[in-house]
Amino acid sequence: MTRAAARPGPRRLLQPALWAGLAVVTAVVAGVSAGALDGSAVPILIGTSVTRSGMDVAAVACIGLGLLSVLLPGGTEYRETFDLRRRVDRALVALAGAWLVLVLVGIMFRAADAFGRPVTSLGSGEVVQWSVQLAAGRGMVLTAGCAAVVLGSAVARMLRPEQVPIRVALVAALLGAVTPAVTGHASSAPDHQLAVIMIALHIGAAAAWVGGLGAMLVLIAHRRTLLGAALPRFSRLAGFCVVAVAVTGVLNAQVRLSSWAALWTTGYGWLVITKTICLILLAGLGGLARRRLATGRAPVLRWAGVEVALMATTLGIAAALTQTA
Amino acid sequence: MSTRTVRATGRALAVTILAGLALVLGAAPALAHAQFEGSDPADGASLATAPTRVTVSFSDKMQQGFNTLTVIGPDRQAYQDGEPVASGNTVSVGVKPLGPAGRYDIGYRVVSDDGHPIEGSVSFTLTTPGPAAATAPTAPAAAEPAPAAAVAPDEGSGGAPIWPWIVGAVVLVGGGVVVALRLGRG
Repeated sequence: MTRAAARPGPRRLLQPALWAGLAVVTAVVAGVSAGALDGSAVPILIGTSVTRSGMDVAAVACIGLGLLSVLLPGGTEYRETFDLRRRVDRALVALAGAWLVLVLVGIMFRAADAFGRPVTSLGSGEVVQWSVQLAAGRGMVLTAGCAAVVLGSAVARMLRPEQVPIRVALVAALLGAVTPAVTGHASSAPDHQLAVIMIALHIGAAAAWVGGLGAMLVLIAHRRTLLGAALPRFSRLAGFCVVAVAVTGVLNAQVRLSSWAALWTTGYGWLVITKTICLILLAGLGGLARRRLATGRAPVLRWAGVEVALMATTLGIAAALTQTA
Repeated sequence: MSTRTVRATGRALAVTILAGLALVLGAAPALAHAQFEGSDPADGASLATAPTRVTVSFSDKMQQGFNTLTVIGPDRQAYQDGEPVASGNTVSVGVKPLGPAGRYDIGYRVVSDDGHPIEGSVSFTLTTPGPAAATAPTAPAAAEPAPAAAVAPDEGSGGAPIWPWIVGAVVLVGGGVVVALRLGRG
């Protein structure tokens, strides 16, 4: 494998673009079919779905990149690591910028939705009122702050890599990913504190799993030495993530669904079922990949592309879930 | 290797069983987002005396400043009086002296703390005409612009439009990213 071939050319960037598109399209379709935001105008409905799922994709990508950078073998024995870390930082700058932009546009769409007014006639006073007064608004502002921290630390790392540890960006990205979901739900639920912790764990674990796998596929799939060093560490982490996602997901669904019947009588219930099926498929694929890895066989990667695509779909559905009334 | 598989399978089984148990045992009804819970007067109620205030309650805390409540009479006139007031889980609005007997629709569009709008309507029936029925039916209409059938949100009260600012911020962030990437290449 030559160095040039490992560079992210247009073709290598096609795959992540495809994943992101899949997540966004799924979110819009799932949001509409689950009857999300019933009273909203269609342009605003599309705007909120697209910005919401786009935010999630950007956040997951930032988390994945940060995680990859952490998982990479340190020290100087790996010549390629330094190059790769630089590339991760550059990608982080672009992604965190996109994330910040999506959050800002998302604030505008969601405020327009709250006031029931087209985006063009929305006043700045109203947006301030929405972002300060509502828990959802404060959450979005907090997310914007997190995206800004990721962006700032990535820029700093690009210019002076030793100055800022990558963990700063990773933690900020995790916080930013969790916040909108935590503030986007009714706080009057009986076990609100528990629900909040569950949602945070669920999202954090899912994001680390999807993002980590995607980042590894795009950036180090063709670098055998690095892959050999990072993949086993990631695989162990992914195992914990699957368990965490499953447990917290079931508990969340149990908090929100009032009965067994609600599982197939409500749009939310259908989304839960779809997500469960996706999770089972994903865990199966992941287990398969892990077994192949353990026996020293390589073709883990062919599966992994499918796996991330499936994850992106699940992510889109999850984004729709958070918008569903 | 095989022990690890066994252990993983065991773990998965344990998770499934635990999750199933949790699903069966815990049955606290709760919902992802705030919901309409009831109204005063109740939906479909028949009243001989007109209410002076209508209240709509929800399952979550309501915030002042995001809500619209309308009371539309059988003569298609608006009977709500003043701004809706949010208090705890309820939103209420004063009602003018009602007009003719018949069906009055209470339309609501509110925003709960989680940022999701809730829209809908309930209605009550006035069995005996209110004091305003005696006056000409156009009298209340003169002061009020013709109300839309649905809930009409108030127009433009929030200062200068926000979208040029958002566009500006987007351009600023985008430009900053491009510049940073250029600098980082060197």
